[in-house]
Amino acid sequence: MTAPIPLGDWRDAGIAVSGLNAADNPAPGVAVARSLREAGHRGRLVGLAYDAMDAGIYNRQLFDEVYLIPFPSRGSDALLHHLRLVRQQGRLDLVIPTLDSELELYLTLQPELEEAGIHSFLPDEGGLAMRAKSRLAEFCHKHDFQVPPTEVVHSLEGLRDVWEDICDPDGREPVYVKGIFYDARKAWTVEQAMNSFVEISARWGLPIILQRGLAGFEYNICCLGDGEGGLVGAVPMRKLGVTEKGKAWSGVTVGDPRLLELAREMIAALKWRGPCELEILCEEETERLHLIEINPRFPAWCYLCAGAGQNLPAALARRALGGAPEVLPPARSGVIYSRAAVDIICDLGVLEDLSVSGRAVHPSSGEAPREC
Amino acid sequence: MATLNHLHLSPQGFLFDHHSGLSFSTNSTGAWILDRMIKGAAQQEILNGLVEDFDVSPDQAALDLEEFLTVLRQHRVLPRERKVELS
Repeated sequence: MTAPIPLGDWRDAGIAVSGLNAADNPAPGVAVARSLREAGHRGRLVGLAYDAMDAGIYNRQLFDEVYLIPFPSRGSDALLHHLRLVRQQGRLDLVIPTLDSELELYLTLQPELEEAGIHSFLPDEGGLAMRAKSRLAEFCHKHDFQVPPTEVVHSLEGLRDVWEDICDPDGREPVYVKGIFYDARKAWTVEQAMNSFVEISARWGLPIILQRGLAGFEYNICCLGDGEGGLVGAVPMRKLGVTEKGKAWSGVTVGDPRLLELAREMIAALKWRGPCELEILCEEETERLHLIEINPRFPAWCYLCAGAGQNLPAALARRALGGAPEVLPPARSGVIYSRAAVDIICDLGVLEDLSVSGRAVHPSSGEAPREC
Repeated sequence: MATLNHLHLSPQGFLFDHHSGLSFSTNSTGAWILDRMIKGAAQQEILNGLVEDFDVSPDQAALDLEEFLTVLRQHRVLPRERKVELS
């Protein structure tokens, strides 16, 4: 891995951020961009969107420019081509991908991007594979972390075979049927689990992960690892309100030292480089902490980190661009966030430019906006 | 002695547990007791104060205090397994 090159003040750097969907199940891109701006980033900030109607595109207070990029299924060459176009139009020193499905592409492209002067701060392939949902139980057993009973299945027959082992013998808690990248559904019977298997695998592929639900409550921890086993920062949060899909809509930072210790141990075990989100379940009866998932990117609620005094997106940018490692202050517990739906007004020209040329420039960039 | 410095109590009786992220509202008597617990008061000291300030018998005060501690345990403000030994 190439050592980061000192690039002067990171706040002047050109940074691209992906994941601009900002609907009721938002991607993390807008929160990352807000965090960077709040830390004083004044350089070129580019949004990378997959859909011209991603709401983050229209936030001209954050992004100077927005580009439509090809879906990850189009492969690494298509992505590289678009990133080079972004680079041709202005300064681009760092790219922060924020979606699970993008990471492998960015890892593949790392040498070419470094050669083009575009840095990133990503985990290595080994760490990424180890935390995959399909291997999480194996990782936990190896390192003595608690994990709910979990099975990985590749077929309906396989699901039927393990059902009796995986379901709650008392029938009080459901089994979660999870896709390899996204989606998790509750199943109380083997028939429900088989239906979910078919639907989720049709969309996200195989394998499917079955995980026994446990009575308890969930914590989420936003972490940043230095790649050498060290924890740059971590902010634990408890959800206060969720959407119909169970996604956090409001939350509060917490200060249970057990959570920070667990984060430290996990980041060390993975030698994780970059951001991640740990999903932890605190079991009701025993108060044991179980690892549910490790998401290999910033969570959509990561702006709360900046609010709690640990701006982890800004810390990533500083490190990726060669800044001296710093000791972040402890995150404050008792800081609340709540999402709000707002209407953003924007000229039609932004949509037109994106639709025609795949690039739109906001007036704040200094470049003259097109007349509509 | 268990420390309760992860609990934040406002003068209005709003209690926030910095470890769990849970928050509660309590009446003025509950806030009075919690305030003393957080400051590390001994159980007997709290009982004496209840008798003095709230005009109740020692037996009634002991009963009410135990009931309140049970509620705190149920909500995990205090650990469930073991009783918090007030100094």
